Amino acid sequence: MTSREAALAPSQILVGRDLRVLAGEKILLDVTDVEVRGGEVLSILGPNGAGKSTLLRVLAMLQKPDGGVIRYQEAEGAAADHLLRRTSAFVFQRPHLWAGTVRENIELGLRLRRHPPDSTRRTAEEAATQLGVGELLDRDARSLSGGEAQRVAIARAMALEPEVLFLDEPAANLDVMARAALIEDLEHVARDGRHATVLATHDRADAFSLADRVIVLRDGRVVQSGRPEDLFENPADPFIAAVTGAELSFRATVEQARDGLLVVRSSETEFTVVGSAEPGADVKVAYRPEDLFLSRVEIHASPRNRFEAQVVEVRPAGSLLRVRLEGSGRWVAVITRAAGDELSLEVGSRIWVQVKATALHAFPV
Amino acid sequence: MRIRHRAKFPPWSHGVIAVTLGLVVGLSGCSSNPDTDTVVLGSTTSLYDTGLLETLVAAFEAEHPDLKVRVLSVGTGQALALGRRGDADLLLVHAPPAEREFTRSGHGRSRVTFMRNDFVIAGPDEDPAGLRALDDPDRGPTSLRAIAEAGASFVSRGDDSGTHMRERSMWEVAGIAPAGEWYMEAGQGMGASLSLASERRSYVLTDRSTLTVLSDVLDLEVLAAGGPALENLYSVIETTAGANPDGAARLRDWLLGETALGLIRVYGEERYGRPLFSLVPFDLESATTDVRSRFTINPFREAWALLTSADTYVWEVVFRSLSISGAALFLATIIGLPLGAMLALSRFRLRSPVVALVNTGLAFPPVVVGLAVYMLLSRAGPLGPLGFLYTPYAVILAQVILAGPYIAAVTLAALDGVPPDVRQQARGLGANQWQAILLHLREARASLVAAVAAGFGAVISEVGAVMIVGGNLLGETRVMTTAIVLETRRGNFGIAIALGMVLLAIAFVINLALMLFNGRGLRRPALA
Repeated sequence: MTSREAALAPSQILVGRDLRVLAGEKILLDVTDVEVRGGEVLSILGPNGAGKSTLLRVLAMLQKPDGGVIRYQEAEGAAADHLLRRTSAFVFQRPHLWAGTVRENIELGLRLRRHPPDSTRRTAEEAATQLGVGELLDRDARSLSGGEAQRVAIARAMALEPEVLFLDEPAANLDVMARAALIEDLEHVARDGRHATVLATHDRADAFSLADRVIVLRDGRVVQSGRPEDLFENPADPFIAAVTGAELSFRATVEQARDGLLVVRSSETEFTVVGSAEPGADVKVAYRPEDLFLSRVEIHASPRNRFEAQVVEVRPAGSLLRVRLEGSGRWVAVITRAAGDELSLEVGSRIWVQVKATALHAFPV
Repeated sequence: MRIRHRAKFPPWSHGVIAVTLGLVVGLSGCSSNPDTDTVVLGSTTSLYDTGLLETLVAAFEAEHPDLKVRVLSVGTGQALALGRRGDADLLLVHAPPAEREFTRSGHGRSRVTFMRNDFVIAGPDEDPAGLRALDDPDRGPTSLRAIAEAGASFVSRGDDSGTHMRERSMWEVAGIAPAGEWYMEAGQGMGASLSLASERRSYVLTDRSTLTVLSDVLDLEVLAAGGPALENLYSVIETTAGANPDGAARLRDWLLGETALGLIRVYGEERYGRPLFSLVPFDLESATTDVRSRFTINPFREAWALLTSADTYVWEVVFRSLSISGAALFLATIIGLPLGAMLALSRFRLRSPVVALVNTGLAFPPVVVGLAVYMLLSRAGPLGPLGFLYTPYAVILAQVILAGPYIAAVTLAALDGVPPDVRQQARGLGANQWQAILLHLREARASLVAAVAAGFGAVISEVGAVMIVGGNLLGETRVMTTAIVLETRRGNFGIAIALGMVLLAIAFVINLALMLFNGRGLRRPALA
């Protein structure tokens, strides 16, 4: 954690220390230090089996760790548990909808907290509308699609107006369309600033697009944490580089911003990239070398960014080739040897480069 | 060893089906046995309990290898009913007035009274009615009057047997219509009635032979004996409706012959120090009539009349059944449901053995449960001092033991069927521990309701254990199933059918309610 971040950070509301979860001899979780700050979005990122869900449940005090303490606001132990139950909400990867209508499910948490009936009804309807399931209120909860069920579960959590919202892989079980739509809505939910969000996900795009801070877990341990751009730019090790996809970047200036995409200019070339910034701002654009597509001739295809470049170096790396390019800036691509043979790559040859907008991430400088 | 959706075909539905089939078969069974190599002997429980019948039958069959004897050991009333319907070829009974009526109406012929012993009034050694001190040559009616006046507890067979008929005629002579707390109608055979009297410290009218044979296991004394009213005469009658009149005649002739009379004269001497029966000189009456008659009353019409006319006996038995099984169900539920929930929701060291025990409980044969409860509650048993045997408490205890494991096992299975993290998810929405458990239970509640309903069906249709521990006492432990058994034996098919119909209706209502409940969605949560 950098000092700059600490200075900017709002106060900690949820802190875990020396958290350990064991399954026999095996260590499922061993986290010395984790904190959640008021109003922030914290992503817990890692591959399947890294301990994300476990950490999330331990932080939410739904699962008792084998060691360590959780402090929530000023409380610990049973008092913290009690307080968390009243002021947090947890959305499971496979949310359970109780037998009954959607409305009854969304009202469930409020009823558990003994809210007055009329405000319960109103709050539930608002939450349903916010998540786009207002039309489904009188449907049987068991008749919903996966995406609808996930939205109802999130609405049910949001209706509680929690101070901390825990989301466990909210989009993992959805098809591509439902997933994209849900992530977009989650962004609104997460960023309304009224509550802290702790999001466990194996998907770096989700993690980076939503998070203020990211914790990367591997084998139950934190391997790196920080702002997304820090992880992107300075991966602590190749594992994080692989997880975050961050390796290389270039500087650019924002020309336009619309629909979550930016048009940036660098080396006299315009690129379409993912990110949020004001026009005129300077940004850093990061990408992964394996996301570059190389071809001998210009191909009109879906990637938004296409330019010609010259090969300045070809270096074998195992079964892969690492190719340095110049043209519209400096680039590094990684391709297979077979692809390199087909393209007859050699130093000095001209090549077309394509890269999808979603493979280019802009961060404020 | 998990059971799932077992409630779909609850085990008690077999009981209901069996009762229905029994009724149907019993009624259609008017056709007689066409076999000429078998003769059916309808006789009394008292003769069977002494072992005399077995001895006689063995000797007869040894001499007549071509003829088998099938003994139906029932009360005299039922034996006469069997004879009327042609289900027995020969009767060996002991109720002279009823026998005379039987032959007079053309159902029997060649009635010969050929052996005797005597009735006695037995009771606790304390003799609260002071029968020992009475001084009247006709001891029977006098003793009954003394018992009634003292309000001392008395067990009646209550099954239209020869002994019961004799008791009734003695009450008539005594000028008393017995009724009240002190007067218990067992509705069972002689042995069971004696056991009941012994347990409940009651007086009882019995034939001396059965009392002698069972004296080792009974705590009863002979308190009144002798006098004309206590004479016990046995007769043999050929039925006119029987299927094997030739076989009947051969068996009758043999019974009245030297070999059989010789066996009867000495029977029991070796074992009890004196013979149990003596012989009555007889001359052979001849048959008065040869009319074959059949069972003619329509029992279904009678059953319908009973049900629509608020017959006190039928509705008393129904009410008794519902209240006993209701109480048993309540107890079984408050024990079984939390036990099943605990086994499903928590992990503790002895969990596996307890689960195994519960699953074993599922397979308890009801009769064995009845036997175990009997041993537990009998005067010699560990809980004897409670005096629960032959009371509703004993029946309730047996039914709880039967239904409790069932409800626990179904609860366990139902809760296991709910996603395992449902309580965690409830906690994630702010539920405290108890609310989380309730939310878990709620997801399984259709199965839980089915479990409880099936448990009710199981206990209300149970008969074996109830008969053993309850004793079929009218107004106390006589429930629908035991009453059906008794009334079928007595030949009162109308009552039996009426009760069977009520039992079926209850089964139907339970299933209908379950169906409606399961088909319906969630109503207002009663949780928050």
